[in-house]
Amino acid sequence: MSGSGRKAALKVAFRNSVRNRKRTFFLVALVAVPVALAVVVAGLVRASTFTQEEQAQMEFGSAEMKARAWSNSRDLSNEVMLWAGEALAEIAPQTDQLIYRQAYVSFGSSRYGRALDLDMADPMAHGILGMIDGAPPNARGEIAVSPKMAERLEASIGETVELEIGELLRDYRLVGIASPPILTTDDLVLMSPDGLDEVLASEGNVETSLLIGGVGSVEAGTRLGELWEGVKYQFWPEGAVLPKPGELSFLGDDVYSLLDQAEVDELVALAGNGELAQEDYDQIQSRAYEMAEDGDFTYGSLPEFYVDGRAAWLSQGLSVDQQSSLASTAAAALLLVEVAFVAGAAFAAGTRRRLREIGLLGANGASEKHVRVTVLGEGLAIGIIGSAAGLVLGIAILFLGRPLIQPFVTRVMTGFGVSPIDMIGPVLVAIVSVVIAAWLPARTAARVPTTTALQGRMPALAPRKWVVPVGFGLTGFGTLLVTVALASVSSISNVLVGTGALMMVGGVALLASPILAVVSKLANRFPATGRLVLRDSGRHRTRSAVAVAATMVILLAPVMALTLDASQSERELVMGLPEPEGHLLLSGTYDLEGFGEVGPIADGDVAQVASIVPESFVARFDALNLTADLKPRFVAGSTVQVGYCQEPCGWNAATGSPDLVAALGVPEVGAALDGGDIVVLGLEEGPTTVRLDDVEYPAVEYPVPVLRFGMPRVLIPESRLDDFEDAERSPRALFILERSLTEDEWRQTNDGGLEIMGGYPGLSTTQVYALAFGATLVAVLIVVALVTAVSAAETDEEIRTIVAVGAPGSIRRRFLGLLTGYQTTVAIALALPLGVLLIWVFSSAEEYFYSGPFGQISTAALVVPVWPLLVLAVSLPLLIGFLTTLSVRSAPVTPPRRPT
Amino acid sequence: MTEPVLSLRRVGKTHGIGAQRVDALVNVDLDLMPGDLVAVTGRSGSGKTTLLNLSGALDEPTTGEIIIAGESLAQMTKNELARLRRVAVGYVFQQFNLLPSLTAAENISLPLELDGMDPREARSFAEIALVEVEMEGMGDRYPDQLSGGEQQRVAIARGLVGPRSILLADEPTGALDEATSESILRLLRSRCDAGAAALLVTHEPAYAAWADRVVRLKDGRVEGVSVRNRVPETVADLA
Repeated sequence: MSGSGRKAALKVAFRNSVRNRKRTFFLVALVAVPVALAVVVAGLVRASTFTQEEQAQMEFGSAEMKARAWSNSRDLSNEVMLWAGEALAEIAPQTDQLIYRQAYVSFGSSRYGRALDLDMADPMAHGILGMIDGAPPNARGEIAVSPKMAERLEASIGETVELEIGELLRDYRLVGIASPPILTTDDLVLMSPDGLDEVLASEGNVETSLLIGGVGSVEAGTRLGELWEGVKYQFWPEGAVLPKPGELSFLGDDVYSLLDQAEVDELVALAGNGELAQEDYDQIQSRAYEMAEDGDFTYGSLPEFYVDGRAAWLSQGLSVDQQSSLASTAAAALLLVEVAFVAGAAFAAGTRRRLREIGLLGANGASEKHVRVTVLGEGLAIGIIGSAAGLVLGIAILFLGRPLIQPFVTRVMTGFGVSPIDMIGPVLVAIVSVVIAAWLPARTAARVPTTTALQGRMPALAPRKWVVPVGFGLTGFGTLLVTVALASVSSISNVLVGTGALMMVGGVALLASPILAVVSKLANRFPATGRLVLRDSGRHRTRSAVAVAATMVILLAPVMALTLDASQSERELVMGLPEPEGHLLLSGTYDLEGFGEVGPIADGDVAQVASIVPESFVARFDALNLTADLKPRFVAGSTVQVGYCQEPCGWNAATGSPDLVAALGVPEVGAALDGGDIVVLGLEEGPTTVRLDDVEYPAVEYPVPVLRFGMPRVLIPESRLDDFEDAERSPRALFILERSLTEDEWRQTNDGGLEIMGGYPGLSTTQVYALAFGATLVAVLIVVALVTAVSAAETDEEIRTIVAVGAPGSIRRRFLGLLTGYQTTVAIALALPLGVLLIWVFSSAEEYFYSGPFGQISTAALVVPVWPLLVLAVSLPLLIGFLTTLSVRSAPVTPPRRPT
Repeated sequence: MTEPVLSLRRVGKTHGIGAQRVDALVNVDLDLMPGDLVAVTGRSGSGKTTLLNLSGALDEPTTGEIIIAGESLAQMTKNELARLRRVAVGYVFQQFNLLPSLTAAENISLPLELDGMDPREARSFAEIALVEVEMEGMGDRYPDQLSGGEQQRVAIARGLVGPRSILLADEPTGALDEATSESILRLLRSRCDAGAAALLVTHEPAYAAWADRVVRLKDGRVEGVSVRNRVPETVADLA
């Protein structure tokens, strides 16, 4: 085909787009919206991510190396850093050093940020922070803050502000505005060293950093790291057994350092010389923690010391460009799969309408290529214009919506918020999607004989024999590809997984057409409108199959989500029945000086929580420090899981107080306790056994939902408490509400040094399901509306004929309602097996086990939620059909009157 | 001796197979010389449109041979047949002759542009063709701004634009009133007098009278051929 001939064909395509403005605008908008969303996603990623260079600058300033020491004891951190400074002065006296401290603190009840005492006069500090305005703080009562924090405090330099940092509430004089060179939205307070000391008196944890710069700094930093390995034991508690035996190398230092010689010997004996199975590791670790907890074990009790180099930082991870462009391209690709389906239906319907024009082109010497170009050219033009419009829209959203977006991102947004590299992916995906969508109708139209096209008829579609084998083949090959790719560690495995998943979706989508053809053969058995619907879908298989495929893709989301949720719920049964939403367990108090120190609760603590949720029912009881091994109900894997105690191990039993029995609301539990039975709050009703500190007892189990973590599952009757008189006791309080906590209540209950389990705010499962169903309904309605809109012209011609022979005008509403309901039914019939298959492939490719007090279960054990899926499968088509019937108009019974 | 621009040699066309076999055209011989206006008449289903489609390379004969401008169509590929339609044969249908998204001039120049001619050059050919069909100055109008008769004139202009010399007209006056029909036939006649060759399918005996020869088809076979010595000035002359 000559260039000029192609030009003529393109001219026809362009003129056709202009002439059918409404349809063109619809298609352009269809492309523009996902491209715009992709650009916004890219902008959000870019505004929430720092480049490697920026991160390195904020970490290292102008230094080459940075040593960091961390411990939950600030004194220990300081000691380590003093050692580091002295060691450095000895091995590399020529290097420059700068020590500063940084603590992550709360500002009031809801904001968190950094407080640090960086010396801004030191050149190595440049890059970590810069003074935007004013001066650095020099005295205890002076601070410099980040620009965004100054904005939030509504304070200017020279003013005095009242600031709550951790537990400390006091007035500060704002002397400067300081920020990393890249403006961020972080809350940040720069203080003098003694000012930070004052804050740390209440906050506790601190990271101390040593910046190393100048000649030989890289070698010096590396050497410092090596030296640490030799001296770290001097910071361990006295009595720690050194050296650590190789058999226990997998044990954390903070646990190991608290063991005495006899305990180490016991663990070494347990480890033996042979290879250990995962269960053996778990058992040794569990035993080590038990031993350590007898002493003063707290997490983070040992100092940690790291040395990092700027060069290593720069070589890690994806660049922001890669991340944002990947994010935008992935977002665009997902959305444009839908666009391709809907646009494909639009092009197919449009091509059918233009069949006589295509015949005319053929009669005037247009070749098949010319005809293809006229349809494809339209797709290309729509792709280009749509993606350009999408880019403009996306950039406008980012630019104009900045005040709304800014609070959700970490970087202060400037300029347009995206780079050209973020736009290339979505634009290419958009253009390719629309051209692909136009390809099939273009090819079909080009193959219609000119004489047939001139009559405006589409030749009857011969059954495509390749569709069924190719559909099954693609699905099978895609499944294989995903399975193999997930099992491999290749760098392209993600691409292969994506390709395989797309092949699976494409393969099943292909099957829509033969299914519609087969079902249409049953049309005779249905009344008139149903018959028409089945015949129409069978005759216009391409258009109908596209509608089905587009709806199927949407429906994959709820099918997969429901299956995942059901499978996850089943797996979590090893932890007990689903947690009740309104349970809140007060189990102890924190020592604010450090982590892990838990003291018993007092009446005041209970009153404090009760004042936050006054309508709650409060049950007081004592927990008993007994380790309970429940009878495993789930068994998976090569070994039978026995003795996996409820977490935390110990404190697994409780007194069966009348308060607690009343709170749980299960009369049988009270009756059993009155009868002297030990009760297990478990999964099902029946006799069972329970091991308490390795002694087995008969018990009775009842299905009672309680908190999975922290709530004792074994209730001891008060009449038998004497049998456990040696067990340590600790008071507990269980608050029961009829609802979840609000965010504010949850923050208040967790803000006072109390150890609280449960009560997490959020939507209930029913609310989540209702929202998911609503979202699915809306998404399917949008797709159905789009597809129905583009194909209505075609069906309307037939409906006009039917009305002309005496059918009521309302047949159009019935017809379209039944059509959309039917197509949704076929879509969900395809989405159900495909969604389950996708989940199965992904979950069985990377199998692992969930362990809990009720046993062990594999992730490969898939649960298909038959009833929820059935409800979805029945109700959604009915709703879609019903809503379509309500929203479309009846066909006019008489032709419109012409003006005279 | 002048060569025919279109020759059909024992051309036949069969649709379907077995019991559903229908002979649409049987052993038709026809020569169309430059300047000829040949009318094809017959009842519905007699094979008129099939004959036209075969003559315009829109369809392939089951038997026989078709030669256009000295070239046999038998060995031509789809693309070569398409090119032949661009450069040699023009079509005029009963209605829907023009692409609604193109202007009159663009409709006329379309085959030339599809054949690779520069759009400006093609436009100049279209302007000439418009003058020839007495529609000078109307090239920038869109089809929906033209009357039925004007649309047919544009179609005739397109059928004979540039190197095209064979016009195949399928009931070109079927949707027009008598006066307009007459003007279209007069135009066809004058274009043939100027050297073009045209095959006119019609079931109106009165319109066939404008032709040099009338081929009567019945059940796909040529029932008879009449030759006229005098071409009427108006339809009324035939009364």
